Amino acid sequence: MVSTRQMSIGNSGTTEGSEHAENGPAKYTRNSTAAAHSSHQGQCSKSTTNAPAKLHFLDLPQEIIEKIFSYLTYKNICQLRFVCTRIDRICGHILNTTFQRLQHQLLDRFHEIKRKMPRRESARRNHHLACESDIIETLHMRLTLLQMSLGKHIERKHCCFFPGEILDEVLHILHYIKVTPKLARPYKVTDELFDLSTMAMEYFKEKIEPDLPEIAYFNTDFLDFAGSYPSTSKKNYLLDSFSIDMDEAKDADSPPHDASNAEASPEGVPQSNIVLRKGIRKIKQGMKRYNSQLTILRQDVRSCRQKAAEQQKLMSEQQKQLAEQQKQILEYATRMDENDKKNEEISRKFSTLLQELNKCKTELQYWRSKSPATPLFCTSCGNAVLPHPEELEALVNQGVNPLGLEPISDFEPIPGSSNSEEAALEVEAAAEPCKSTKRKLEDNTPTRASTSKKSRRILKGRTNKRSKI
Amino acid sequence: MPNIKLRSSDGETFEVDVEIAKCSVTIKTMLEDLGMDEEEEEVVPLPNVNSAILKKVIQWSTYHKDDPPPPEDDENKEKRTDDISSWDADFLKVDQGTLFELILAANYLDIKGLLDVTCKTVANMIKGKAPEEIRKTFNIKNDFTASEEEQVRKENEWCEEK
Repeated sequence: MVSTRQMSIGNSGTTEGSEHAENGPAKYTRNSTAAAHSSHQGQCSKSTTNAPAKLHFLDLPQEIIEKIFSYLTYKNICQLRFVCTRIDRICGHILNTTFQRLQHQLLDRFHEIKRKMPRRESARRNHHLACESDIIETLHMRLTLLQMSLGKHIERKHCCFFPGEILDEVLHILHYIKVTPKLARPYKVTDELFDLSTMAMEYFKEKIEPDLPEIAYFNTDFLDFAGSYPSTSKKNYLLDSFSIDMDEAKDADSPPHDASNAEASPEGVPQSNIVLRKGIRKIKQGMKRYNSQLTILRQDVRSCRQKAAEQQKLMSEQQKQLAEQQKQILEYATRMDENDKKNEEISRKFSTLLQELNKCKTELQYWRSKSPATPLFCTSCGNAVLPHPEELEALVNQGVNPLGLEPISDFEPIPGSSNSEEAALEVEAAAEPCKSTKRKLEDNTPTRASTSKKSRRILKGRTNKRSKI
Repeated sequence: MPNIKLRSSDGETFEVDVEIAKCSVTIKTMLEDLGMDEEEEEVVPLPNVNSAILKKVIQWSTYHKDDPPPPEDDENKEKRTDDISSWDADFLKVDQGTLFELILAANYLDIKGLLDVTCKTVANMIKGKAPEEIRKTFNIKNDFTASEEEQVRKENEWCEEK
C-alpha cells in the first residue's frame, strides 16, 4: 500500500470538529464546496465535473504515479520519460530503484542457492539447483557489470538506469525460473539478457558517457579539503560543495539538515569534522560495496581460469595424440617405401628369371634337337644335320645368349666328318658327363681339349646361374 | 447489523454497514483501536474525501463487500491490467478528475481493491500511447529544454536496431 496518507484517523475519530484543524492537501478542499451542493443529486461524476479546478494527473503524489506506472513494462516507462520533466524524474527514480532492488534480490538468491549446494564442484553439477544457480549467477554478473559502468553516474544523478528493457528481461527470467518445473540449458534462457546488457554497456560507453561530467575516482573535494584545511574561505566553499554533493547522493537528506551543515561550516573545526567523518563513512560504504562486487568478479574469474586450465589440459592431450598419430603415419610411409623397393627388386628378379627361363627353354630346345633321340646325322645321306643359319638367327633374336651357340659357331667354319664326330662327342659329354668319355676327350688333340674346356666353362656358368635363380 | 456514520469533508453524513466500512483498512484499524460502542452515535470524519467521492467509494465497497482479500503484491510478477471486471469498468467510466480523486480516496482509506482497479484504469490510458498522445490525454505541457530532451532521446536509442 502506498504510504501517502497524511492524516491519522485515530485523533479524527475522537473529536468531531477536528477536521478543520487537519491540514489536508489543497486539492481536497478545493472542490469540496461545489461537491457539497450537488452530492445528493445525480451522478457523482457530474458533480465533480462542475468543480472549478479539476484534479490533474501531475497533481497526484509521486507514490501514486509510481503505483500506476508499476502496471507498465519498464520499456514503456523509458518511453514515458519524454512526456515531461516531472514524469522523467519519476520514471528515472523507478528505473534506478528497480535496478538496485533486483541487484540485491539476485545477490540474496545467489547466496541462498550457494548455501544449499554441495561444496564439491563435481557434485554441484548434478544438483537439482544447478541450472537455477547458473542462471542466477549470470543474471547477477550482468547486473553487476552494468552497475560498474553505470553505477557511478547514476549515483551522481548524471543519468538514470536507461535500459529499462533489461529490467523487463530479468523479471521475465525470474518468472520463468519460478514457473518452470525443470530448467534446462541455462545459456538459452539468458541469451537475450546477454545481448541486451552488452548493447546497453557498449552504447553507454560510446554515446552517452563522453557527454557526461567526468568522475574523479578519488574524491577530489575530499583531498582538496584535507590539503587546504587552514584556509577558512576555501573551506567554506568546499564544505558547501561537499554538502551539495552529499545531497545529490542521498535523496533522504532533509533540507534543514543541509542548511545546518552549510551554516555551521564557518563556525569551525567540530562541524567540519562531522562533515569529514560523514564523507569518510560514505567512502567506506562505497569501498565496501565495490569490494563485494570485486569478490564476486574474482570468483567468476577463478572459475573461468579453472575452466581454461581444463581446456588446456585437454588440448595438450589431444596434441600428444596427434603427434603419436603423425609418428605412426611416418612409420607407415617408410614401410611403404621399403615395400616399394622390395617390389621393384622382386619384379627385376622376376624379369631376369623370365629371361633365364627363356634361355633355358631355347637351350633345351636346342639340346633336344641335338639329343641322341633325334639323330645328328641325316638318316638318308649320313651327313650331320646342321642347324639352319635362319634358325640360329631366330634364336639370337629371341635374346638367347650367343654363348650357348658358341660350339655351333665353332663348328661352322670347319665342316668335316671328323669335326662333326667331335661335335657329337662333345654333345654327348655335355648331356651325360661321364669320366670315361672325358678322359677320352682329353687324350685327343689340343684343339679338342680346348673346345672341351670351353664347353665345360659354359656348363659351369650355366649351373651357377641356375643356382642363383 | 450495526451501522456506522461517515462524514465527508463537505459535511455530509453517510450511514453504512460496519462490514462495508471495514473494506477500508483505515476505518477498520480505527474501529479496532478505539473499540466500537454500539450505543454511541459517533460520526467518523473523513476530511480528505468529499461527499461525491465518498458516495462512489461506498457504492464500490457495497458491491465488493464479499470479495476475498486481495493477494499480496509480488514485486517481480508482471502485473496485468486486462483483468478489470465489467462492473468495475462501468463504475469507473467517469471523468479524469473523479478517477484521480477516487485513487486518492482509495489510498487514504486504504482500500487495496479500489486502488488497484483505479490505477489499472489509468495505466490502461497510458499503455500503447506515444508521449505526445499522453500529453494530450492528461493535458501535460512539454517542459523539456532542447538539450534535456536530446539527452532522453539519446538514452532511449540504445536498443534501436541498426
